Amino acid sequence: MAFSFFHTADWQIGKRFGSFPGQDTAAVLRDTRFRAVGRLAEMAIARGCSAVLVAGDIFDAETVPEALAGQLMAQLRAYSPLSWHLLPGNHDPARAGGVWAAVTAAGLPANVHVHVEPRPFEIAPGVVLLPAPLVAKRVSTDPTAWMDQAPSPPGAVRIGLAHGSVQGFGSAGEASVPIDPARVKTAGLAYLALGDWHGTMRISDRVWYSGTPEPDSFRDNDPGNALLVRVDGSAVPQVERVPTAFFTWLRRVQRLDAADGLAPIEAEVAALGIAARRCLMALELSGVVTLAEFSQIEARLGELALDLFHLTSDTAALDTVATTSDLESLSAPALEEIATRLKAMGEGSGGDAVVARRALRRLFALARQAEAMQS
Amino acid sequence: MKINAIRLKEVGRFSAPVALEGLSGGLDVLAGPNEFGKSTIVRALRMALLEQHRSKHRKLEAFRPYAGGAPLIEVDFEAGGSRWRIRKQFLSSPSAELRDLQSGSVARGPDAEARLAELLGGPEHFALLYAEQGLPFAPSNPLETGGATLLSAIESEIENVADGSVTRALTERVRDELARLLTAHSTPRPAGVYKEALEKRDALVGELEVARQRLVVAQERLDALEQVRGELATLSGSDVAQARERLAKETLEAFNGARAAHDRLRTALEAVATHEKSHAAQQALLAGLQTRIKELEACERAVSEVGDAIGEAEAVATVSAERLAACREARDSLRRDVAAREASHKAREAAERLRHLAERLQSARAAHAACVAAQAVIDENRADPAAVEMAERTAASIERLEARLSTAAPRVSIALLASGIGKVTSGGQPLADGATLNPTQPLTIDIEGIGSITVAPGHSQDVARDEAALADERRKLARLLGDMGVASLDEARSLLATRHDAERALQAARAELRAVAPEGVDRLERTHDDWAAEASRLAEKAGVGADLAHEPFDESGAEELTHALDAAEDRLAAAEKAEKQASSALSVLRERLAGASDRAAKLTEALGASAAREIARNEYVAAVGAAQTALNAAVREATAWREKAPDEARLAELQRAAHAAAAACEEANRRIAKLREDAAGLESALGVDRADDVAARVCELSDRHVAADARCRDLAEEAAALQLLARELESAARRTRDRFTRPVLARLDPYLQRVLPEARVMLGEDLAPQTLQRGTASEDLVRLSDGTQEQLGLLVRLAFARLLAEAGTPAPVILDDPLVYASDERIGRVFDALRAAAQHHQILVLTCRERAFADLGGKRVTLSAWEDARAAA
Repeated sequence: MAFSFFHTADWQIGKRFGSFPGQDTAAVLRDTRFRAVGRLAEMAIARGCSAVLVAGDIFDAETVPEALAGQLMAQLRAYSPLSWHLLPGNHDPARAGGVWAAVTAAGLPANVHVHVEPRPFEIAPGVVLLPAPLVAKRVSTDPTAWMDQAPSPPGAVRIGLAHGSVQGFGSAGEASVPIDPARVKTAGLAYLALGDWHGTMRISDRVWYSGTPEPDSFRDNDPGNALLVRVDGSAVPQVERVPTAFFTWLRRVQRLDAADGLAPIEAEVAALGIAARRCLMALELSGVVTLAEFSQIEARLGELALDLFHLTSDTAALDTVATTSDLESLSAPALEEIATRLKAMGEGSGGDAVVARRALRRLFALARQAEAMQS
Repeated sequence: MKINAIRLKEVGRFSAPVALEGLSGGLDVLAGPNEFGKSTIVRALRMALLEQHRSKHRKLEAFRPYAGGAPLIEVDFEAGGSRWRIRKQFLSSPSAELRDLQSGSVARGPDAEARLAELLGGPEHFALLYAEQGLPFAPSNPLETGGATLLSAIESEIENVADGSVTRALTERVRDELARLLTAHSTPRPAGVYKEALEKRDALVGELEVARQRLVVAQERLDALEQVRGELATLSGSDVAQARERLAKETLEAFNGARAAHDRLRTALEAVATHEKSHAAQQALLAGLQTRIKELEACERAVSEVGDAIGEAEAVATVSAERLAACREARDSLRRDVAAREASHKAREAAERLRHLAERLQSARAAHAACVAAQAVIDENRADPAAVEMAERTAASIERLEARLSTAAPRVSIALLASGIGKVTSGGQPLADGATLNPTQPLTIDIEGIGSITVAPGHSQDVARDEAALADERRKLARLLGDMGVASLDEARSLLATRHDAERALQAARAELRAVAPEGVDRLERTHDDWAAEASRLAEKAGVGADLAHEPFDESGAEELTHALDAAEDRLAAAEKAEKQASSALSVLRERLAGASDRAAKLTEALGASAAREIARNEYVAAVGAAQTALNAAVREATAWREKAPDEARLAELQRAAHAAAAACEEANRRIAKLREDAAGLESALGVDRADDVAARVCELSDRHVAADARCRDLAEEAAALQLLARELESAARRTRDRFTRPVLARLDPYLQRVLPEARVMLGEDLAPQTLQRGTASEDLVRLSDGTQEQLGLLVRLAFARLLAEAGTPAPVILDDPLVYASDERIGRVFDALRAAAQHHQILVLTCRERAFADLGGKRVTLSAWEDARAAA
C-alpha cells in the first residue's frame, strides 16, 4: 500500500553561530532553525503526509537547555496531524542523562516518538519503521546491522532510519558511524532515510540523505531541503526534493585584477533582488590589484554588504601593487617617496613585506582622505 | 614684503599721533633713548599686520594709553608687486581698512583682514622675523605671526617648495590612529582598541577554557550517568533481585535446619556427659565406702601391734638414761683435774716474764741517765766545728800575712862580740848573738853605752794592705775564740774534741736505750707493773705462793690425765646417742598408737557398726547400677542425633553461605540506593549543564575566540603598518628638514664667517641652532655666552630672511635693541653681516645705543609727528 512521509534530518536546534559578529545575526540564525521546523510541518501537511522521519541530530548538542527542547516539543505538538519520528544522532545520542532522557522525562507529546532503541515500530498500518539510534558520539559498528534480523509482519513495508556515513560514499559527514550501503537489500528495506550529510544527496534509488532543512554553513552541497517520499510496496520509492530554506548561504570565490572584477558578484546579488536580504555570502577574493583598485574594492564590498543579510569577505589572498599612477596620484612628493619605499619593502615575502604592503594601502587611503578634506 | 611707514595714535606711550616715515626697505635704523617707544612701535606694527581688528585679547589693552583712547595703527608696505596701506583701530570702534595705494581699491573689515593675510603670505603667513630685545634665540620665541611659530612658518615655506599640508595632515592622522592603538613605548594603549581587543581575546581564552572544562565535566557526567543507570538496571532487575532473595532464603533455611539438628545433638551429648558424671560419682561413693571400711580394720590391727612394742621400748630407754648419767659424772671429774694443772702452769709463766721485764727496765734507766749526762756536756760545750775551722783558717791566714810581712821586713842579724853580749837589747830584752830579727814595725835596738838603732821597715802599699789584713785577721780570730770561750786555737780544738766525745757517748746511750726499751722507758715501767699484778693473781688462783711461782713445773701425769679425759668424753658421747635413740623409738611408737586409735575411733563413728556399714554398701551398689542405666539411654540418644546433625565444618559452611547470601542482598540494596543517589546528583548537575547549554557555549566561545584572535592579529598588523608609516613619514620630514637646513646653513655661513671665522653651526630639528663647532670643539648653544647666543640667533634670522627673499617671499627682519652683549670687536663684525644682509631684504634696527650703532650705516630714520588728516580721523 502507498505511504507518504517527509524525510528530514540535521535540524541542529541550539546551534549558536558564534562566528558571526554581533548577537543579532546569530540570534536570527538560531531562530530560523526553529522556523524551519514549522515550514517543514506545513509543507508535510500540505502534501498529505502523516509522518515525518527525522534522521538524527535534531539537537546540536546533548546538553541543550531543557527549555529549548521544551520549545521544540511544543512546536511539534502543535502540528498534531503529523507523527514525528525522531532518531538520536551523534550530536544528540540516546544515552542516560542526555537530551532525550530529559525530553522523555518531561513527557513527550502524543504525536512525537523518540526512537532510543533499535526496535521495530509500526508508523502506519503495514509500514514498519526500523530505527537505528546512536547511543554514543562515536560508534565503530554499523548501527543498522540489527535491521537484517528485525521482525516485521509479513508484507509490511520496512523503512530504515539511520544517521551516519555510508561507506564508500566518501561523504565528509560529521559522524564517524559506518553504514553499509547494502543494508537496504540485506534488511529488505523499501527506503533507508539517512541523516548526517547536510546536503540533499541520492545514494541510490532507495537510499537518500535529506540534508538539513535550513543551511548552517557555506558548504555548497545543496542544503535547505526536505524529501517527500512515497513508498508503495516493493516499488522504487518516489522521492521529491522540497526546498525548505529561508536563508541562502552562498560561497563565492572570485579572482580580481580590478574593482570591476566584483561585477559578477554584484550582478548575482542584484539579481536576487529582495531575496538578497535572506542571503549570506562568503566571498574569497584573490588576485593582484592596484592600490586605487583596492580602495574601490573595499568601497564596493561595503556597498555589497548592505544588500545582503551577511557578507564575510576574505581578502588575504588579494594582493595590492602600487603602480606609477598610484604613486603619482599622491599630491606630495614626500608621500610619493614613502610609497616608493613601502612598495619596495612589500615586494618581498614574510611578515615584514605584509606589513609594508598594508602600510602602503593605509598611506594611500589616508592620503586620499586628507586630500578630500583639504579640497 | 617691505615696510615703508608706520604711524601710530593712542598706542602705548604715543597718545599723540606719531609716524616713522621714509623707510628705505634696506637697512633702516631708528636710534633713540630708553623709553623712546621703540618696542611699542614694533609691537604696533605686528598688531597691525597680524592681529584681527576686532580682537579682544588682553594684550591689546596694554596698548591703550593711560589717558584712554583707541589704538590706531597705520602701516604702508610693499607686497605682491604693489604698495598698500593697512589701517586698523582696536578696542573701541574697531575697524580695518586695506587700501591699494596704486589702484586705490579699498577693502574693509573682514575683507581687509583676509586680503592682508593673502598679501603677507598664505594661511600660515609670516611677515616678520622679529628679535625681541635682549633675549637669546629661542626657536619658538622670535617669530610671532598671528600665532604661528617660526617652525610652522618655515614648514609652510617647506610646503611651498616641497610637500604640503597633506603630508602634515596625514602625519597627524597616522599619529592619531597609532595613538589609538599604542603608547609611546609601542605597548597597547590602555583603554585603546588594540588593548581592548587583546583583553577581549585573552578573556575569551579564559572563558573558553572554563567552558571546555565544563563541557568535559558534562560529558563525564553523561558517561557516568550512563554507567550508573546501566549498573542500576543490572542490579535492580526483577529476576536478579528475586534470585538473590530466593538464594538468601534457601541458604538461611538450610542453615537453620542444620543448626537445630546440631543443637539437639549437643543437648544429647550434654545429657550423656551428665549421666557419666552421675555414674562416676556413684562409683566414687561406693569405692569410698569400701576404702574406709578397709582402713578401719587396718587401724584396729595397728593399735594392737603397737601396744606390744611400746612396753619393750620403755625398758630400753630407762637403761640408756642411767648409763648416760654415769658417763657424764666421770667426765666432769677429769675436767676439774686438768683445769687445776693449767692454772699452776700459767702462774709460773707469769713470774718468769716479770723477771725479764725487771732486767730490761734496769738497763733502760741506766742508758737514759747516760744520755742525760752526755747531753749536758754537749750543751755546755761552746765549741763549734764550723767556728773552729774558721779559726784555723784565720790562724793560717795570719801566719801567711806575718810571713809575707816578715819577708818584706828588713832582716836584722845580730852579731855580737864577746864584749857586747848583754849590751844589745830591744825593748829591754837583750838580743843574742846570731839572732835574726825581721821587724815589721819600727824596731829600736839599744846598745848600751852607744846608743840606739831604729830599724823602720819601709811602708809600701802592699805592706800596708797586709798589715791591715793581718790586723783584721787577728781581730777575727780573737772574736771566734772568744765566742767559743777559749783563749787559743788549741783550746778550741780541745774543746771541740771534748764535744765530739760527748756526742759519741750520747749516741751510744741512745742506742742502748732503744735496744732494751724500744717502747720507751715509761711504757716499759707500766708493762712491768701490769705483769707484776697478773703474776700475783695467777699465783693466787693456782694456790701457790709467789715464790713457788718461780719454781719449775712438774710436767709428769699431764698426758695420762688428758688421755683419760678424752676416753671419758667418748663414752659420754656414745651414751648420749644410745639414750637418744631409745627415746626416739619410744616416741614414734606412742605417736603411732595415738594415731591409729584416733583414726579408728573416727571411722567407727562415721561408718557405724558392721551391720550398718554393710547396709550402706548395698545402697551404693544399687545407685551405681541406676546411674549406669541412665547413662546408657543418653548414649543411645546422642548416637541417633549424631547421624542426623552436620559436623562443625559443614554447619559453618552453611552459615557462611547464608550470611553471604544475606550480605549480597544488603550490599545490592545499598548499592542500588547509592546508584540512585548518584544518578540523582548527576541528573541535577546535568540539568544545570543543559540550562547553561555548555556545548553550544564552547562552540560559540571558540568561534568568538577565532574572530577575536583574527582581530588582534589584524590590529597588530595595522599597528605595525602605522608604525612603519609613521617612521617613513618622520624620515621623510627629516629629509625635508635636512633639505631645508642646507640652504639655511648655506645662507648662514657667509654671515657666520664674518662674525666667527672657521665656525660652523648645527641646526636642530626645530631649525634652531643647537651647537657651535669651532675647530674640533663642539659646544652646545646653551653653554655659549649670552652675547654669542644672541649673535647666532640674529645671524640665523638673517639666513632665514635671505632664504625667504630668494624664494620670492621676502620678509623684513626687525631687531629691537640687539647686540646688548656684544663686544666692540664683535659688534663691528655683526654690522658687516647686517649691511650684507640688507642688500637682499629689509632690516629695521631699533636701538638706544646711538654711539655703538653709529658705525652700522644704513638709513637713519626718526619719529615724527603724524600730521595727516587721517590721524585726526
